[in-house]
Amino acid sequence: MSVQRWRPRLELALTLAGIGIAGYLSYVKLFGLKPYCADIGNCDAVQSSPYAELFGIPVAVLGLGAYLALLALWWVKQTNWRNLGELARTGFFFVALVGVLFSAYLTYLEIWVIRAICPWCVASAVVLTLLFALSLLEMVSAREDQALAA
Amino acid sequence: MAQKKKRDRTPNVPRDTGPTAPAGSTGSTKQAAPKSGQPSAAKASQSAKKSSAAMSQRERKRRQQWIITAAVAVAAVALVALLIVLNNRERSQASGTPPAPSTLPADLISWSTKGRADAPVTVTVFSDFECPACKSFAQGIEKQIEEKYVLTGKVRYEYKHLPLPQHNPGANWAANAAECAADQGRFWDMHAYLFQEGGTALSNNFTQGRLRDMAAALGLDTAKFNDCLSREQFGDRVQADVREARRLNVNSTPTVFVNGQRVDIAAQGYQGVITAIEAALAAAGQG
Repeated sequence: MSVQRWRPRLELALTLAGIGIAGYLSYVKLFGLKPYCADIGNCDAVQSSPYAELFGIPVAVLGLGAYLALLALWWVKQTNWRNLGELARTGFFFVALVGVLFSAYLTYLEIWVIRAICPWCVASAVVLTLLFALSLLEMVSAREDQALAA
Repeated sequence: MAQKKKRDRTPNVPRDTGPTAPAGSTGSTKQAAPKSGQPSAAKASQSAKKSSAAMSQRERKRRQQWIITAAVAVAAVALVALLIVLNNRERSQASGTPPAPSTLPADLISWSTKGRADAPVTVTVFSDFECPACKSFAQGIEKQIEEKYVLTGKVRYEYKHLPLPQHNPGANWAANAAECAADQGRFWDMHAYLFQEGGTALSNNFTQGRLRDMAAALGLDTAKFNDCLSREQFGDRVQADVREARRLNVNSTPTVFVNGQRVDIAAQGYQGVITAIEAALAAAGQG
């Protein structure tokens, strides 16, 4: 029960952490800087690999877009803005699932193809996984609540 | 805990209603206080109907929710699969067709060296396949040196690997790929192909998969090449070059030595290499 009570705040905190990570990586990529890596892994190899872009858009920027979308959807679902709360909850679940699946693919690339690990990317993958887990929990509990209310 | 207590108390409710509860009552508090027989039966059946309607509505709603969640999940999986496929297609199209094979006579090629073994001048280049300056050097001055001095037997030109840390792992793999191609006598063809594809602003162009595709495009024995690359069979040779560079205090690419004398490219530009070759040839009495 306590997870349910803390879920919205946890979601917000994780989304903001994601914005921080993706924002930093986007800044580094767009300005051609070397990411701070604290000697763990090889951020530069990952960030400058051909896989760091999708259709010419840096993956970090796509990630930032996804986190900003999650933030907007979080706000709509929490405030039920214009009665769009339920739609926003489904949207949040969708974006989180796309994020977690794409992160899994990127992690696979890091380990098996690029053969270098970028801790920032791993952190983002963990954040997305947690966000997805919370959103799944919310979807399931919302279904139960609605069923009881019907 | 609070909920458990609540649940424990619920069954007591009909018992508390005691004698007022009609026979056959299921224990619902709503049905527990009828005033007379007939209307109560109608009410009960109405309530049962209502409750079954509510149940089926609840069931429908639940099913609908499941369908929506499943549809959203399927859409998400499909979207990601599409992104991955498109991303891979974009990657696999990244390598252009290989440049024309080297026209150097086979007897002038020895592993990653070209020119006669007894040439009076030796040019040594420390280079990196991911470095843009090395690319322009290889596609410009190196071609001039080959035509004017290597083919005429005046210069022996040797390539040494210095994959820079900021270009790794792509640069190191490219160096290993060139060595694996050398094992099949095709170092210079792979060298030209690597510089055609690498040395861009992206600075980490090569993955093992892409290098394997490039070897296939060059018509190399792919089984042998792939095994060589994945095991980094000639990694020791690459590392020996890196150690030599360190010993010579070389930390940028391209760095060129003419008969062991370092050419100051920063001050003289690439043309300084030609000047140094001419000077060395003059010193050897072949100018």
